[in-house]
Amino acid sequence: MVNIGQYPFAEEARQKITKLAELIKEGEQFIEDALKIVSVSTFTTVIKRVDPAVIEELKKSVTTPGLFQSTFRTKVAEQTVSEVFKKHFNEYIDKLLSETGGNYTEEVNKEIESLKFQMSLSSGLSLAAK
Amino acid sequence: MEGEKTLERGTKSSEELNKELLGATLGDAAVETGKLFGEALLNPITGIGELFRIFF
Repeated sequence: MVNIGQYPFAEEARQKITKLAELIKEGEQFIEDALKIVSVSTFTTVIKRVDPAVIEELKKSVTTPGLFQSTFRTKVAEQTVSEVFKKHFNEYIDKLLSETGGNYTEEVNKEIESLKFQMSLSSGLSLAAK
Repeated sequence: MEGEKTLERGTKSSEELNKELLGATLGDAAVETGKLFGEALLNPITGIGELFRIFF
């Protein structure tokens, strides 16, 4: 798949997940899987909320990855994608803490908690209902 | 002792957790993209598992 450039928040997420992997002594596969979980969740949430006209545009390029990516990037507001991405990232951290946190010291768990994104209060997005 | 609560945290392995979450996430994406795009996103070029590259 052609890479057309990074979202700034995605690079920040990669750095946070890399730090997380260091904290819990995991490797590259963990990092790749975690980024995939957050990213694919974000994509699924976003496409369920976009205008049907955007879906029609995306449909035209489903077999052309570069065009599909650029259509997604130009037709869906970055702020929307950013807020949804950060929400899923923070949910992933919460899930990791609740399901695996018993394996680590409270100090490590606090460091993991600190990796969460600060959410914007001005986005106006209602992300509670899925 | 009364008044002191310990936060309950699981002891699942992070590898196991990722495996579970990834399976659920890809499954959900397959269902939703299937509804919106038909079978097209199951195409190997734009496969569900590769969608994350949109963000990186």
